[in-house]
Amino acid sequence: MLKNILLTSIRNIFRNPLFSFINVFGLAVSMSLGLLIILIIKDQYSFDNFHKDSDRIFRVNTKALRTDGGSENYASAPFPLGISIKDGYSFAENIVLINNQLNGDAVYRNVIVPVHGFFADSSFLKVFNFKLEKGNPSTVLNDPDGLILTTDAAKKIFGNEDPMGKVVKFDGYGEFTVKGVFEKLSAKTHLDFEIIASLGALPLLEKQGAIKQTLNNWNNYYSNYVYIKIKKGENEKEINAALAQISRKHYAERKLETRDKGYEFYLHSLKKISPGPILSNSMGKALPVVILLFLGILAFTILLMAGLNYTNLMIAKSLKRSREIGVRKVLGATRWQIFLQFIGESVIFALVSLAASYLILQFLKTALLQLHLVQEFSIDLTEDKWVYIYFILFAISIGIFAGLLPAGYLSGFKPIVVLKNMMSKKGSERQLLRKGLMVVQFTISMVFIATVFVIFFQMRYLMQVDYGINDKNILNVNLSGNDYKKLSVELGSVAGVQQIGFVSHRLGTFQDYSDNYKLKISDAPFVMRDFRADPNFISNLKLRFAAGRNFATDLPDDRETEVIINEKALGYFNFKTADEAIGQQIYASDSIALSIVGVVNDFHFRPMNYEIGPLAFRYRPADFQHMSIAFEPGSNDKIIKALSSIWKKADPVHQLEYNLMRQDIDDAYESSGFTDILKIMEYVSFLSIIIACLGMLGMVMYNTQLRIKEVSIRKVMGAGVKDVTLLLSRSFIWLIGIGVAIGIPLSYLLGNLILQNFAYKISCGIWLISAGGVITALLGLIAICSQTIKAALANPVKNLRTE
Amino acid sequence: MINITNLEKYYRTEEVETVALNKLSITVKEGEFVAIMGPSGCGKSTLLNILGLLDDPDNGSYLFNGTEVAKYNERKRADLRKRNIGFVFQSFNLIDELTVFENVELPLIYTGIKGPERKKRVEDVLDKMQIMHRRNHFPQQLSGGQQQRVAVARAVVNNPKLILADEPTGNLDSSNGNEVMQLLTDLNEQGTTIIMVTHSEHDAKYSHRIIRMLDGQTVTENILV
Repeated sequence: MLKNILLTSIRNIFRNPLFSFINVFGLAVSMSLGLLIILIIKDQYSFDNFHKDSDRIFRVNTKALRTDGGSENYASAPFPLGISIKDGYSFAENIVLINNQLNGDAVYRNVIVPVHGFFADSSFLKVFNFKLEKGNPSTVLNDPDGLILTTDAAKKIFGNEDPMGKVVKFDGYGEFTVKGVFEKLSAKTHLDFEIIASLGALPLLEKQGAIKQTLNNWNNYYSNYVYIKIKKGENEKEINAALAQISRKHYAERKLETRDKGYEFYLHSLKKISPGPILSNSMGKALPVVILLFLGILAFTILLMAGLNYTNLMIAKSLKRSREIGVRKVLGATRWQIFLQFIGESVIFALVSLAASYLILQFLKTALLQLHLVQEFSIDLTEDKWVYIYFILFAISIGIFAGLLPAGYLSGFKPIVVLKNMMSKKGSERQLLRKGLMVVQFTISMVFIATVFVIFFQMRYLMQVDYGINDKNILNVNLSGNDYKKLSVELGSVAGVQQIGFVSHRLGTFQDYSDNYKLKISDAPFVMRDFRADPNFISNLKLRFAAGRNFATDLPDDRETEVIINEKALGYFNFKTADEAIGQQIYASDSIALSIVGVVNDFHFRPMNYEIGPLAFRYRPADFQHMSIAFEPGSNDKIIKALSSIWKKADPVHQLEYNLMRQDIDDAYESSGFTDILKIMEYVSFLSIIIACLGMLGMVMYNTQLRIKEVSIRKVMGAGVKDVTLLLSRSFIWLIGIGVAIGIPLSYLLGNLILQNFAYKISCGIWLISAGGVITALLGLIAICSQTIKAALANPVKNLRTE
Repeated sequence: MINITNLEKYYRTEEVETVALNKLSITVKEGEFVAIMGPSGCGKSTLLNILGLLDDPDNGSYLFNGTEVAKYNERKRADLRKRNIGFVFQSFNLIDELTVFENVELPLIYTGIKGPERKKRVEDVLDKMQIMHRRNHFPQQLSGGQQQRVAVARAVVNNPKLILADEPTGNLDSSNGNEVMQLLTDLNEQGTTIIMVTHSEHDAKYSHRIIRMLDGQTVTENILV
């Protein structure tokens, strides 16, 4: 039986090359997307699978409730929360406390290497199953100077020397002794580190002011992570109730951060961290589950369309297969056997398509690796035997799914009906369902294409929009902790450099600084974005002053006195005019008195997702992290060359990081994933319209087959090519029309939903959406006319004779 | 073997009702070779379809080996059909995607005969039909006569008690037609009951009895042997 199914399927594939091509191609391109999603999902679900009792390990997350009614979820939690649980509750078998403030350069003799990691207590190695290649896991983090390195970090710092017992110095944190080296980890973990230092170092570091107040600070829910391994039999719900109790007890009388009105803590299972929800302060590089869901829905939609095509085309082919089914039934086949035969054929089709889709996947993988998303989240697309098993199971499921309807339909044929050629009426009854499926396909395609248009034009708008600043001929350079004054002197002499300014973070990107501001010391503060900048930075941007002036050039570095605000900020301080604000004193960070010396015209200082809000420029050299080099047009190559050579001498440790300011602004959209979405949507739209057109092609072929006798008679009676083409095309043109008509409002809604993410956007007008509709309709028409014109040109006598 | 009484079959369209079989009663004994003749539309093919359990009557009784089968469901019919009845069609109805061997093998697959036994039985019957040398050819690579021989081979491979032949020589020239008729005669002589619908007086002469039909009823019966 199986052999018979196999033989029939394979011979059918070769006997009907066009149908087979449509089916295999449609399935293959859509399956390639499915395979890619399988690879991504498999990679993303491979995080932290190696820890023992991982079902009992949880992280305590914080939900910060804002005074404006909103809330924000954090992967981090206050340090004292962990201590309270340890001291006052019995549900925890073990608690791991992690502080994320260990960053910077590790110094060993003359080697300086940037590393990242965190402070952790000795429970870390008891709860998480990271194995040590060297050192004793039960004591390695006991002493305050204990340090564990990954093998890679050990190699970077010590080369081929044995790191054990060696002392490493960290800028600002003091000296640590290497007491352990991790085994090389082949699995993935959300705990992102190269080094782990003993948490025992924190009290001293806090005392020295090297790290933020942490140990007893219930308001610092940014710098720490609390992991709990709960005892067997403990209930997650009850623990969450206990966490709520802790929150009530400790925050009732406490003064909270200005923007917060309270905190809720809750358990987050280790198994659900990666992939998981989007949380602030998340460690590690796992895709948020919402992105997986988005990709999954896209792949499912495309697969559904290709599946519908298979269904449609197989039913369309039923005219040709009906006699075979009749004969098989006459010879004793039951409906179930015929059903299985068609499911089997469909699975074989899917397996053949799998082979083709695997080839397409290799191209897709190359394309995908270019996406920012993949680089950002270090998605690993390597294949192993499990991947191949998943691929095959996936293809079999697709085959079964796509084959269900045709198998059910074809196996229901009565032999007497099909053997006596009484099929056509029955077939036409089924057309309504298939026409409905066709409309769905064209609606989906239209929505995809229109969405691509919306994203494309919004993207173009963002790239071309005037931010109200001079962003040309400016180079942004990361200071990487270097002395800004020294660099300024060295670079100032390079030919082509016009002016060098300094700033805390790159303007026009998603990087964000904010502080509390108020007019009088007794006023309630409000949160305002700010840049810590020098006068040259402001002058490089060529900002226009509505009143006042730029910072004085002789401001002291260690004491703030002046501030510049934008026009938008005037209202927040109740100033009616810019002139009124000049000379007024305001307070920043609750108590720093600053005098307003200038008011600049409003300009875009964040991506266009946000409306222009109030803004302050403050002169705080300690916060400078970036250089802003204004250069003569055309001299950027020379400057970069000179900069590289100066940088190599000034800082041999850190790589020179630079970018043109305009590029930085444009890259912000890329790093936010917007460009990736455009690329993904382009591919998906391409697939959907190809699949819909192939489906239409098959449907028209089927219909033309059914009506060939009628067409021939009409031609004999005098109908012309135009009449016949119209006759055969009319109903399909209607289908496309209906698909597009349904697609227009849907595209409009979706387009506006996407544009809602931007405060400044193109108008999602009817012309833009209609352009999507026109392209969909045109491609559909090509598919229709390719068949109907052919049928209209055919010799009628031949068809009547063969009939 | 076959006993039908007052069999009625109507074909209905939206406006017209056509009577295909009108209270038809006939009996066929085991081992008989019966030819059914009559003008187009007289109901002979409808009768054959009902006899072969491909179609069900609207009224009347159909006893097959003493069992009432007129109201059998699809599954029972398929089961009875594959174990007892072989079909030979005017247009051969071979499956284009299968070779000669595979076409003949098909009824055995559906009956659940195991592979080695299947092979033996198919080879035996192909040998008997003198078509063994074409076992790996596809139907479209054969002449009409060869195709019909394959169709006969397929009809008899399961050793059915009854063969229903619907104008088996309709698409063949006289020489090939005679060959096929001889094959059927041989099968009948070996004990298989044959009911054949035909327009050809020449072919009908191979049978034991000719039933002539008109307007869904039997008009005459000629016993030839």
